[in-house]
Amino acid sequence: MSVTNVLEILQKKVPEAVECQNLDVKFVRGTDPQIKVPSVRVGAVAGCLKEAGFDLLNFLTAVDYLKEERFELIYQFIKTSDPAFSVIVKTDLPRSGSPSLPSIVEFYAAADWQERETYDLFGITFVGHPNPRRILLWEGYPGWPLRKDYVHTLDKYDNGSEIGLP
Amino acid sequence: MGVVQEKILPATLYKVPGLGEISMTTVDFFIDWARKSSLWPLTFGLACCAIEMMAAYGTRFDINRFGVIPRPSPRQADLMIIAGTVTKKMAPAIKKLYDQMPEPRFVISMGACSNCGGPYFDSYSVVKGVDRIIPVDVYIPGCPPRPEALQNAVFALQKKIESLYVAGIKVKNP
Amino acid sequence: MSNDKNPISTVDQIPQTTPSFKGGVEPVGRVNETADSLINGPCFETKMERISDHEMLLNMGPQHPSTHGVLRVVLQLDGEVVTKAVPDLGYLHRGVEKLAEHRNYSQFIILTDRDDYLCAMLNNWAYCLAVEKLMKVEIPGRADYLRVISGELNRIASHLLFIGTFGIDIGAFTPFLYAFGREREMILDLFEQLCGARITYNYVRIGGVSNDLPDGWVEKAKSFIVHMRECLKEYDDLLSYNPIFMDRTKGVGVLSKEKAIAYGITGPNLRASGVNLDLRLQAPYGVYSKFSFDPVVRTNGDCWDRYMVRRDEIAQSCQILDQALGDLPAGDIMGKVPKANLRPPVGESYAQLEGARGWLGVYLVSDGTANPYRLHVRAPSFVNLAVLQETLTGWKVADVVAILGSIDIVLGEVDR
Repeated sequence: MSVTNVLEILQKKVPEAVECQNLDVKFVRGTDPQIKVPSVRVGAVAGCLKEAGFDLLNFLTAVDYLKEERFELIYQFIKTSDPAFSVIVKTDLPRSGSPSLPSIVEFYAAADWQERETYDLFGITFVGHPNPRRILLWEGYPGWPLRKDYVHTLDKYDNGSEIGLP
Repeated sequence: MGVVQEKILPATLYKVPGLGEISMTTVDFFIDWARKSSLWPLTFGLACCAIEMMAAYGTRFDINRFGVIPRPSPRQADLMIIAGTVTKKMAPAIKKLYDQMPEPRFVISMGACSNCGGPYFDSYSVVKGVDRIIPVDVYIPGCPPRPEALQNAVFALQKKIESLYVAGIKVKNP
Repeated sequence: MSNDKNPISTVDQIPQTTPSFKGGVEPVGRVNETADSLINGPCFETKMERISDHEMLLNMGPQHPSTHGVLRVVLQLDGEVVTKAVPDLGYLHRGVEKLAEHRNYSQFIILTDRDDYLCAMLNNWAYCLAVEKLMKVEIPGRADYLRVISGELNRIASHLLFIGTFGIDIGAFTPFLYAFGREREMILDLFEQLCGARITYNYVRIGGVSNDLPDGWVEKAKSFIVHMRECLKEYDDLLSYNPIFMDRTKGVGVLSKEKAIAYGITGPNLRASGVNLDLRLQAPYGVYSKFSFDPVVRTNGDCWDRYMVRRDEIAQSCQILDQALGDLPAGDIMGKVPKANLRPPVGESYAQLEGARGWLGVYLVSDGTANPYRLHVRAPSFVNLAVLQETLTGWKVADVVAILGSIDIVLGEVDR
């Protein structure tokens, strides 16, 4: 299995998939294949990779690129038969409005809590998630802490020292 | 008469022939001695300091020899060792557990996180010190403090309790 | 107060003892009254409620006598059988990923210590691997061996604590005094001589390790390994083949292979379900490719298998340590890394290693400044805990403690 194999398999179902290596040469990346897909096709990508034998979803997280006005979501899929080889799938979301994309819980149960965590910390909605609630912070917490433009609202426990708060 | 007793003496032992031994002491000393020698903490470990607290309860550092027995229920405990980071989500639970403890009750704040926020002082979800929620008697610095430091804190608390009770004076919040 | 949904009157409003706050946002949750909101929403009240004529809600935690930390599980019980379990996390959420953006690369190492505080060396190592991958730093051979030695000793310490606390969860108090009070203290003594700390070491640094071995340390470590192998026989006599322990754990909480992989479970939990997946063997990092050791796999996937996999992994770590301590090369302990003002190139990297609980990974994005731009910790306990929702249903309350204990979580890692 190599980059081109995975790309070919993906492009059968999702023709918009491109390899990230060609996108930005100045950005240092690892050697694992990285494939960028449009955000609405994430569900199809997950189904396709699951059929191709990538049965373990290793991690799912987001990065907030404030200057470029986008969120980038990163998924890593690994084959249990060959854990040295992994595929990273990336997708972009615009920062404005309420960013949302389909959930992949129906294919990978590991995405359940990781999507909830991404929602909790970034405010990205996963459409079709069975339990779309905050997981680490409490319901009613003001704001999405891991966003770069997060301004902390003082509550009663912060009274008196705002030192260093984001 | 003319003699003013300035020091409260510890117990005096009288050997009475036929009866055995009688110990005479002041009520203050006796009640303070009973309270300080049997401090029963609530098993309340939050984070890494809890592991050092467990080591203190364990065989090597054994604070059981000082009368400290961990109790799982707050109703049976008179000491609360806050070991670990206090987060804003956990704070109401800590307050409720403290309220459930019967008086006289004491609090030891163990570790940098519960003293003042510690290495997470500028986090959005950490309470900068448990003394924002409940009154603290003894603070232990360290990250995490050694089990011997927890022993030392128990001794310091015992010293604090030694002069706590004054017979005849009703204290509001002992 | 009674209403139609709750025929039995529940506990009244808890009187507010904290002073009222003027302005800002109230961070605490509301007092929930209906069962729906209790199980589907946040609730900090410890209540027992009847929700139908044969089911009841029981709230376990966030303070409970088991030593796993501040985890809250709301159980819907039919008599004593669990019909639904909802874990509630976040009671130790310290915002480590946000703090990473306000710290240097070197300053962040102490925060990784406190994520999974039972095997802090491995946490340090995972983070340093990610930074070194980005900076393309060459690690000297001796530093790599020292990382392996301290990592494996820490893995043994973590598994010893698991044996002790799992025994307590089941009800056996004695193995704790031996595993935690004797052997683990010996390991902590070794670490204290090595780097000065007992639990949070800050030993593995970017480019190498911080201290070299003091005189006589290798001999002490070797004698400890000999002692450890004998103690494993003691633990078998005391706990592993104890009929009560086996009755409580054999066949309980079975996790099938397919479900384990679907939930992203890794580490000893996965190996107990029959999948031979160990990063040290199949995707070696550091100098693991130079050591030969046997994989530890069991097939049933119940609590006893998860316990035995960790017990066998102690023997496996002793095997690795024998080889590592024997072949330790001389040399530098730190590579060519700037001491101050560490600035990796603009880019991203992901590095993971086989932690004591699963695959511990760090995803790092750098923008060329002295602080990370984004740092995500792939915490094995967080991913492993998700299976609790499905695994607990159908078991009794006593088994809940056994199953939760056998997954071996650390709340510092779950909540970060």
